[in-house]
Amino acid sequence: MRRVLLAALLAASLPVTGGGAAEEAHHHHHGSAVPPRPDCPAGDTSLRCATTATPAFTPDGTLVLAWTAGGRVMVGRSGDLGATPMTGVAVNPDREPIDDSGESRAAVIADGAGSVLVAYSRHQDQPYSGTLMVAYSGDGGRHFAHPVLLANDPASQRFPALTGDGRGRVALAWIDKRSLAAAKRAGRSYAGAALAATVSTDGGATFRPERVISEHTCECCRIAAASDPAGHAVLMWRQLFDGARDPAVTTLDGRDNPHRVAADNWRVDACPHHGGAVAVGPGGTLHVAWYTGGTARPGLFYARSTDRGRHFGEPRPLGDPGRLPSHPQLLAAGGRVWLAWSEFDGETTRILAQSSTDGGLSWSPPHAVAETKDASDRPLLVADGPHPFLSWLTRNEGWRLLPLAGDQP
Amino acid sequence: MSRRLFIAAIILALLAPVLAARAAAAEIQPFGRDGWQGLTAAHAGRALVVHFWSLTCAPCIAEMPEWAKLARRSRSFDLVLVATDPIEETPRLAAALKQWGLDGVESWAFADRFTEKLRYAVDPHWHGELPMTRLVAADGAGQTVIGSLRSSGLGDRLAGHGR
Repeated sequence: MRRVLLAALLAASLPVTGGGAAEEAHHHHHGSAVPPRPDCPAGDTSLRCATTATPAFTPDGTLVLAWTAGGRVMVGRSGDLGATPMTGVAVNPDREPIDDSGESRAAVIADGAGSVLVAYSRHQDQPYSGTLMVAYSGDGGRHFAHPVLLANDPASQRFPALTGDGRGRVALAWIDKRSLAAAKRAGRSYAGAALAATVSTDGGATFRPERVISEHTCECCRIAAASDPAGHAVLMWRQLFDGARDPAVTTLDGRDNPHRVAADNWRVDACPHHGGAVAVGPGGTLHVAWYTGGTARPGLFYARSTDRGRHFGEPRPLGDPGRLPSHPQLLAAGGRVWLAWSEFDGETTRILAQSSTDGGLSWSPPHAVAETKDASDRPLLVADGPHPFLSWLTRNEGWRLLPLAGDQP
Repeated sequence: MSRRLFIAAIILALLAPVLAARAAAAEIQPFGRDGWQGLTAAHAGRALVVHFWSLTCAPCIAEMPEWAKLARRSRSFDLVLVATDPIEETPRLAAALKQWGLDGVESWAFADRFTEKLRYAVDPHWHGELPMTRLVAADGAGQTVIGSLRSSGLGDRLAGHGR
């Protein structure tokens, strides 16, 4: 009761929204991955003022980049890998307090039929709560319909993740607080939040009603998503297993249940703000990577499964444990699997990458792809057909799209 | 009337240093790239408990009343609060601290966008989980505790310290 009262008091002390400048400033400062530059006026939506940037490729090689800046989600298109500066179009017509912490960011997906789908969460007045908005473009991202509410429950939807098979099958997943809100109304306690998801078969123009896929998930870690060879989405998230915040996967094929990736036993009453990564190889092999502070194995790890997540091989540690290996990424492209993560040595943040040509059994030595000496967004991997790239927004260098070395036949 | 005014003036004059001291204690200091060095140097030779929290961290907010209880007790250690929210959030941070009765405790807030570097100075193995508490012994030896007072067992340890 005291907690509830305190939360109410705190909520009451927060500025009330109305799109006021103070409100936007507040949310922009709040843990933005890359805080806006001092020379970026409020409301500047250019890519150089972005706080996060998320890429996608259409099958014909057009880059579609979604970035958050000035209270807007912007989408730019490029036929030359972003070499020509992108101006972009605003997905949301009015400035909004967009959830752009880096863990929570705009998600974007594009297919070969001209569908571009953008999903983002905007802060609610209550802390730790967001509203999922979805915007659809049928002309490759040149114009967007007005963003719409998608969830059939108002409580909270944050950390959107999108995946698609490029042929119109799309899945959208997020962290949802409907079960927590219902428990509160009934005077019961509820640990964590829930994982909710919905699917579309028309490139995201319409969605089925969402389902809660798993109860009692970690409430502050982004979800990872990839599509398997049959076009089904594979999701990876942090689940509460009897209080342990350990990684889980499931395939959205209408039959599968969640599977625990590893019993790390990370029992912590804290916000890790650290989601995992998932990729599906050509034969359906699942590749996952995650960070844990668990007693079984603290650090950053990779594991693979050849039976759709029922069993995983022994987790393999990633990176130099003395350099804070963080924020893993996985990508299946061109017959290889690519792994990337960040390391920090006290001065420099580096992105390291390695690849496997045998479905994740053996890996090339890690090599540095990029570095920066100031604030940075999460590293993201994206494929243009068989060609893998690192997409990285950094304070000093701006947004960059870098080919992963060794991308030669 | 003038006599009453005179007495009021005397009382105000007597209170002024107290009010000023309270205002000084409530001031949130900028935690920049040399923040950790400066903070620990100022408390050198004494047992120190530095608690990192954030307005965006639900488990942090939930246990702040317990930190307030700890702060009110007589302690064998110095207590310092560091918000990982940007220093631009000072008005909201100060209001929240005041609500919990923690406005008299030495407080800092992150004042550099390169937060990885700020965290690294505190503990090079800290990934940024919150709540996080760094214990610094009088001889300078440090230990990191991640998680809430209750779940980490830190609450019992600190309560023992304070008696």
